[in-house]
Amino acid sequence: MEVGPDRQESDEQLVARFVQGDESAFDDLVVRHRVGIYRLAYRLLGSHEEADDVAQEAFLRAYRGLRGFRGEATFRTWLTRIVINLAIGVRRGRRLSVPLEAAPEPRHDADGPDTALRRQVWRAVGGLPPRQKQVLVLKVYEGMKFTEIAQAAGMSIGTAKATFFQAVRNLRSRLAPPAGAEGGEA
Amino acid sequence: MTTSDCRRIRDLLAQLVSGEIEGEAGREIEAHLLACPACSAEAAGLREALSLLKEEVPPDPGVPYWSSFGGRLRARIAASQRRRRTLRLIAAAAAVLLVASLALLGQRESPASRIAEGPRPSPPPIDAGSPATPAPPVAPHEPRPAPAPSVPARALSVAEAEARLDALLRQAAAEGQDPGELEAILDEVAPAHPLDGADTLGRLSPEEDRSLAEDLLDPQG
Repeated sequence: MEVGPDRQESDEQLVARFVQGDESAFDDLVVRHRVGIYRLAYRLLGSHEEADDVAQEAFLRAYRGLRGFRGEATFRTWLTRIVINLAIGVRRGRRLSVPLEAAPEPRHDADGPDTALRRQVWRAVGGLPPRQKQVLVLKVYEGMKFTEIAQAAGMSIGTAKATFFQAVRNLRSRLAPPAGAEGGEA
Repeated sequence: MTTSDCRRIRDLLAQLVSGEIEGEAGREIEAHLLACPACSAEAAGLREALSLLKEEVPPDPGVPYWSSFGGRLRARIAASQRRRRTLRLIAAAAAVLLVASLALLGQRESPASRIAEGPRPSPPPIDAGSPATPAPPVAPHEPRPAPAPSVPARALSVAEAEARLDALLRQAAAEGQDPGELEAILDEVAPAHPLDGADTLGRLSPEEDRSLAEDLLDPQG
C-alpha cells in the first residue's frame, strides 16, 4: 500500500510549490509516486536492481527538470515517460545478450497453486516486443488512457490503441495457443 | 454479420476490454458480440489474458528499502549538483586557457613582434601578363586600416592560466570531488569518442533539450 502525503494537495500544487523553492514539496511527490514508479520500472525490466536504479534516476531527472516542466501532460505521465526512456536505455545497455524470456522472474510469496500460471504469464509478458510490453504495462498496471499512453510513450493515439490490441492478442496466443482456425475475419 | 463489420469491431475491442468505450459505441459493440460468436470469442480471450495479467504484482522490496529510498535519492541529487558545479568550473578553466592561448598567438602576430623579427621578404613581382588573380583595388592615398590593437600586457600567460586552472580544480576538490571523479568529468567534457558524451535518452523537457554549454551557464545548476 502506497503511503503518500496529504491527498488534498494535487501533484500540480506540489510542483508549483517546488518551483517556488519549497524543497519539501519534491519529497512529497517522491513519497506519493515512488511505489508506482518502482513497480513500473520493475515490470518493464524484471529486475529489482535495475528497477531501483531507474526509479532513483527518474526522480533525479524530475528534480533537475521540474522547473522546466511545461504541464502539457500530468506530472505522473511526464514521470512515466522518463522511466520509459530510462528503461529503453537500460535494455539497450544489455545489448539483448539475455533473451527477454530469460529475464528474472518476480519472486512470489508462496508456491501456491497458481504459481505455474503466474510464471507462464510473466514469461509471456517478458516475451512481448518492447513497444507492446510498454503499452500493455501502461494500460493494465498504470491504468492510463490511450491519450496518456500516447504522451508517455511518444506515439500517436492510434498507434497506442493498435499496439495495445496487438499486445493483448499476442499475450493471449502465448498463454493459450488456439487449437483451431478462427472464423469471422478475413 | 459481415467481415468488414467484424474487422471494425475488432479494431475497437482493445478499447472495449480496457474500459475506454462507453455509451452508444459500447452498446453497439456489445450487440455485435452477442450476435457474432467469433468476435465474442476474441473479446473473451482478450479479457481473460488481461485478467491474468492484472493478478501479477511485483514483489515488495520491503520496509527497509522504502525507508532508505528518499535518503539515497537526496544523496544522488547532491552528487549530481556537485558534478554540475565541477563541470562549470572546468568549462571556466578551459575558457581561461583558450583566452590565454589566443592572447599568446596575438602577441606573436602583433606589429611590435613583426618589427623585432625584421623585414619580411618582399613578395615576388607580379607578372603583368600572367592571369593571376588581380589584387583588390587600393586607393593611392587611402590610409591603410589601423593594425589590430596589440594585446594588453596584462593578458594571461599560459602559466597564469594553468595556475588559474589549478586553483579551480583545488576549489572543486574542496567541494568534495575526488580526483577520480574529476577525471571522469574531464572524460565526459572531452570524451575519447565523440558519441561517448551523447545523451541517449529522449527529450523529456526543455531542460533535457539544452546543450551542455547551456547547462554549464545555467546559474541554477
